[in-house]
Amino acid sequence: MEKLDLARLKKRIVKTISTEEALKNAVPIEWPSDVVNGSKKVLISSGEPAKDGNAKYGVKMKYV
Amino acid sequence: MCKVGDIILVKEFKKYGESISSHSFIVISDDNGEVEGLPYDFACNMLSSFKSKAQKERKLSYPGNYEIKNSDTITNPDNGKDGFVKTDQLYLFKKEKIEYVTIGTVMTDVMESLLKFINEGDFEITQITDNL
Repeated sequence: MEKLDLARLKKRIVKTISTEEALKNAVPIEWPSDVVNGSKKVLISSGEPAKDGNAKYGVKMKYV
Repeated sequence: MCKVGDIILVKEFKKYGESISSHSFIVISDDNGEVEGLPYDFACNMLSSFKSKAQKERKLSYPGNYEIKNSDTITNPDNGKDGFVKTDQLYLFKKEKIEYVTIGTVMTDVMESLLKFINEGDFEITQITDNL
């Protein structure tokens, strides 16, 4: 499997910020209670390419 | 210890206690290393959702954001379940400094695509190291 190219990534790092700053405008995904309590798992897999043209990678998530 | 492709829910950032709510991340590297003299166990990208249709369009126009649709999405554009991986922020974690649970998995082919997207991108990266 492809690995993260950390050496190349390091050359693209422009600054270091705090967690607080990084998460300032982030909207946490609302997981259903059965995911939070562990009775279901999130599975992110390949999906059908989206018809609306937004999901350019055709990636979907579901709960199993 | 988590591995590449795991989806983790960080319940607590110990440095911040409860002042920061739970957030989800995808583990993109489980190779440990050192940055600025501090050891880390794994590297992650944050999974985020959208506040509105306008925000969704704006967020998806950024080159470092990788969209993920939810099969359970029933409203257009958003019911709080669609999301994206914010690959232009690299979170480095030391596992003792956070409280987390593994809540899911990203399938290998999607991880291949995601890692290729990150490796081959030319967008700038911001790193977060205060959980080390």
